[in-house]
Amino acid sequence: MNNVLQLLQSLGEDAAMRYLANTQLEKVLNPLNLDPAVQQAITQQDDIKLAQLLHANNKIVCMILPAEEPSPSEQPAENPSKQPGDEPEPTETDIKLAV
Amino acid sequence: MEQQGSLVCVGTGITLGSHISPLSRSYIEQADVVFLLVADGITEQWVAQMNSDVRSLQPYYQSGVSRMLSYLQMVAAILAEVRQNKKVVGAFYGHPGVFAWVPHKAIAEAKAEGFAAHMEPGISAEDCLIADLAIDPGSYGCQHFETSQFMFYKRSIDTAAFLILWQVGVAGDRSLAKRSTDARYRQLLIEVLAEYYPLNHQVILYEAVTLPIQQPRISRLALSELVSAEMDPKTTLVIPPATPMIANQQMLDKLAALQAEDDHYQRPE
Repeated sequence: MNNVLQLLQSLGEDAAMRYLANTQLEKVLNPLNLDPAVQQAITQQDDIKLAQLLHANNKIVCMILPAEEPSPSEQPAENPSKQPGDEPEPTETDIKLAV
Repeated sequence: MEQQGSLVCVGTGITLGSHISPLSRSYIEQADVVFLLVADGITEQWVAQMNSDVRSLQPYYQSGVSRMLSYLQMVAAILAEVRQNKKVVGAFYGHPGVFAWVPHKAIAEAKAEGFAAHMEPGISAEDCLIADLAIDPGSYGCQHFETSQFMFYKRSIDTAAFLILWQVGVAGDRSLAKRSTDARYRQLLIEVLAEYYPLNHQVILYEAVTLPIQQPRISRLALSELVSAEMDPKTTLVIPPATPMIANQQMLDKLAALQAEDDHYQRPE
């Protein structure tokens, strides 16, 4: 696993590392010989810079809930064989809101 | 007859490394193909290292196009692999069944076609919100709505309970094509909320931590200040109770009568 991703995973899953103060975090980072810019982004909690340095996708959309049901005209382009009316339209109960 | 292909929708949790369950991780590692939708690009890279065939669902979002079309395309892409008799995993940030139409729809379609399909829960943004804001939904009750749906339909709001509005950054967008809505839309949201809450009522804008180097966003402001507040697709609006709970005296009297009956029959001879 990529060193930086491995480090982030450890920061996320290890109770001894999850909420380290910067001085302690630097002690963890120093032996790893990370790119100084990556190290700085981590200690400065600069997730935008870190994403740039890791060439991560920075145009993330994460909404997957519609406020309303799909209209009959909205059909997936990848499934041209499926015709409108082949199946019932989603109902209110299809849009799960339970938490 | 049940077919060989299968679908499991798992949650990756919200924070990289902290929240994914051992079982969800195992499903990802053992899948033939993983479809992935998470809330930041670094987490996307992290999950991509767990399996050699991880496919991001991000390309299905197209600027200016209804997200509903994207959602339907995501479901179609997932189902196409299940129909190839593959072990398919849909990995979604947070809990795959909370405020998430795509996983529910994909599982329902797979089941309808005779494939094995189920969901494994994950730690949701709501779970993080409860921990970070130190609120208990059991203390006064809690109502949740998708913000736009809350605006489109007439709802009964209990101002003695918490009200939590999700996807507030796209409040009022009927096109599902916007990545954010502006002050005019927010003003209409405030108009709806002002029917129930005073404009100076203190509310909270919350964003959970997706990377373990971040701090959660907890911004406290007056309801009227929402119009110009900075918002992100991940921003959630939390409205604390504004009124005290009112006792249902009629019901309390009936319950007291029942208790008296119980006490009478349980009294030792």
